[in-house]
Amino acid sequence: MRGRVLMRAMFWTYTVLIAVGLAFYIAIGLIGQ
Amino acid sequence: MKKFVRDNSLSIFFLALFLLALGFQSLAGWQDFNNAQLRHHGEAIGYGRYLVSSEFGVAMLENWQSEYLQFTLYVVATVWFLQRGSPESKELDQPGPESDEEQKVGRHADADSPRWAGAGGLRASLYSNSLLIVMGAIWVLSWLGQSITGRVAYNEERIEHMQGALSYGEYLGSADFWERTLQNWQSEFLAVGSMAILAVYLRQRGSPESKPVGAAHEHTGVTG
Repeated sequence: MRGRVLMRAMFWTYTVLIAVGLAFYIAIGLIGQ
Repeated sequence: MKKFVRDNSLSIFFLALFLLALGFQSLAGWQDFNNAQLRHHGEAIGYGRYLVSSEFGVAMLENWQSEYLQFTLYVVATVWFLQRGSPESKELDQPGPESDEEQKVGRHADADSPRWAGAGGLRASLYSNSLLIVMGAIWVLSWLGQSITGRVAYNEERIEHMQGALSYGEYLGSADFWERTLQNWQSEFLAVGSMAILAVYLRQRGSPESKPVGAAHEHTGVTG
């Protein structure tokens, strides 16, 4: 059970990392930094 | 803890490599940017400022988009296209999305299948293509990000050289945008294509990306 939770944690680590990276640099470009 | 590391070692290994490489890329990019500034009699900027710059953004995202395009295309192309003898290919008589029974969809789902696989209707359709949808969305968004940050970085350079700034539409048709894009695409396509065909004749013992060492060259879709 704990193994499954940790596996899911890895999934979300990557997903959030990618989403934040995309959103952050799109925003940087949009405000013209 | 030991079990967690073993069970997830592949994703942990690549996450660590990613963070290290991105960290060093940012340091090298910062130095390179400041060197160019000094050559043009501009002012050097701090590391923090470089991290929130479009110059760093475009350098990062132009590579992201090509990688995600590569995987998106690979996921969808391998549904239909085959390569005789390749572990990257399905068996030669199975092109296409296959039957619900083979894919364990709808009433063919097992007790431990993901819930949406057994749901049927729109949910099963969405879940059946969820890898393609998400990888494709990351590709589109990173390519969009490349174009937005690329334009800002390119315009800064143009202004330094007393040239007018480009609109977003003009930038999308510019050589800068397409050179950044295509230089990354070509390498991905070559790597994927060569992997599919080299793996027909070459082996890596123990890797699921390879056929078993003793498998015949003719055998397709066997991983070991």
